[in-house]
Amino acid sequence: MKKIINQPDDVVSQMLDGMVKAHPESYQRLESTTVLMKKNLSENKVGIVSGGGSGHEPAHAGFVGEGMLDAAVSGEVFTSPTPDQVLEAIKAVDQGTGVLLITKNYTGDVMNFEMAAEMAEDEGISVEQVIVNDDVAVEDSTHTTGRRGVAGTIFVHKIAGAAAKEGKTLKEVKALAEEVIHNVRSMGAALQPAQVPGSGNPGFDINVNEMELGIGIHGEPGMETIELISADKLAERLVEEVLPELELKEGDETAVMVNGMGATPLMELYILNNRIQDLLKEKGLKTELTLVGNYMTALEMAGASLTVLKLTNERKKYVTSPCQTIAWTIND
Amino acid sequence: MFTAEMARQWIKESAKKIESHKEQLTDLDQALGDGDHGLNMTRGFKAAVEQLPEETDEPGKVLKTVGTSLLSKIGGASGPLYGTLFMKAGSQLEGTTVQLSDLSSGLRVGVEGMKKRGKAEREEKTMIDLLEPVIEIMEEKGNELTADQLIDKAKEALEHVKEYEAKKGRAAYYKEKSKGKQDAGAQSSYYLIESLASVLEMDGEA
Repeated sequence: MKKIINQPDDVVSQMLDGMVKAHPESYQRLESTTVLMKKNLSENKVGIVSGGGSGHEPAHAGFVGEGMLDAAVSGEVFTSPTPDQVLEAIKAVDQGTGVLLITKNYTGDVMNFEMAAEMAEDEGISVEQVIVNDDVAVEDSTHTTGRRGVAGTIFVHKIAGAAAKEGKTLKEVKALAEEVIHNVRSMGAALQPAQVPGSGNPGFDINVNEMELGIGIHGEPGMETIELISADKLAERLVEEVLPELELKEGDETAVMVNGMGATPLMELYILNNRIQDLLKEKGLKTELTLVGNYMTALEMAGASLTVLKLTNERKKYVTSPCQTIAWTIND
Repeated sequence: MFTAEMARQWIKESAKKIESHKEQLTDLDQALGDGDHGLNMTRGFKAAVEQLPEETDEPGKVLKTVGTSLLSKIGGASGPLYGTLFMKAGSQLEGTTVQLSDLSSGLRVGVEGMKKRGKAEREEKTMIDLLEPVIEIMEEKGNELTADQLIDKAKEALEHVKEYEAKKGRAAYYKEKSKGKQDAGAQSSYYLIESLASVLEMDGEA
């Protein structure tokens, strides 16, 4: 796989510096860390920190900004950041009102953020952690690792960030974030694998006439390998898989994300969205907000995912409220 | 006896073995995970060797420092797990005179810490399936432990791990397809034990 990089070991650091240089007025990199944070923290609000392995850009650093995250911690590509880095982010954003950590449900992320939370508590900072697990492709079982966290995480960032901005307490923000997690579901499909910089092989093998349904954002296997199907057929399949657990009724309001995995053109994402919106409408569902684009990617994986969030009035208010980040801006 | 110098040798030897098996660890992880175990472990152990306290005579201090280095350099799931193993084991070993039986008690506390941190039990196809049986033989043999006994037990455990179905980490998504494939974490744990055995052998005690 051809890549525009220098040394594989430098990709994360150079990417972060590049992000800061693109938006020097808004962001800074916490010295000798992989933490990207807001330059001007709003006072007296709960801090919101997320992070995870790199390679999912714009997640998570691209969602740092007004109304979303205060800081994001980037690990190596597809590898969780370490507790010391997360701790630095927590300390940097804490204003005495506590910090909420948002992680995706991967063993490494959960453990590293948990250890960082324990270290921060030892230093007298209140920390809460929520774990996003929106991927319906994985069986929900308490005997295994459980479901993966994927693109639905962006809605958790948004709503937790908006609630914190409004002045909600740590406990309230956490409760709201958990409600979002219970009401958001996603599933993706991949056409081509991604390759970690410095690794000799693509993440998985797939035939030219096949697609992997229910793919994970690191190339983990999904539900099944199927024959390549049309955009409309894929839209139908994704809607069919994502909706049931949300138990939506006619007239319910939703927020929808049609997310690109990295190498899929926007044209294809819009074609997918075209059918998805019709299907939701046929079911009598209202789409209050639609995002189409690359929000939670997997390097140069080709593919897309659908995320549906069930809204309440409160969630609708927070998901549509103004925010200014690199990857998502809603104007006043 | 388990001296501070032996502890340092153990880590240096582990770093060498891991680096020379980087591709193998990565390939194993590619098949059941995300293919970064070789890179992450090499980076972590390289840092652990660089940060080894060369002046101390206390093996516990060496292992604690190793734990901190691994925790801050490996990342992923392996960082907190190996970090916990060495930090907890190290904090159990006091002073300069440490017997093999003390080392096994330390590693026992370490592996219990790993189980708690990773919410893992035996037979879930993880590092635990390699380390715990090895610690059991250490506990059983006490100060009479030989390098061969360590290696034999580690080899036997490695064969068992291969047959289990993965229940933890990303490998769990492969469900029954994970049977018959080796777990990358168990494989790297094997190299740690192989390195420990070689240090015991060099020491002439074994």
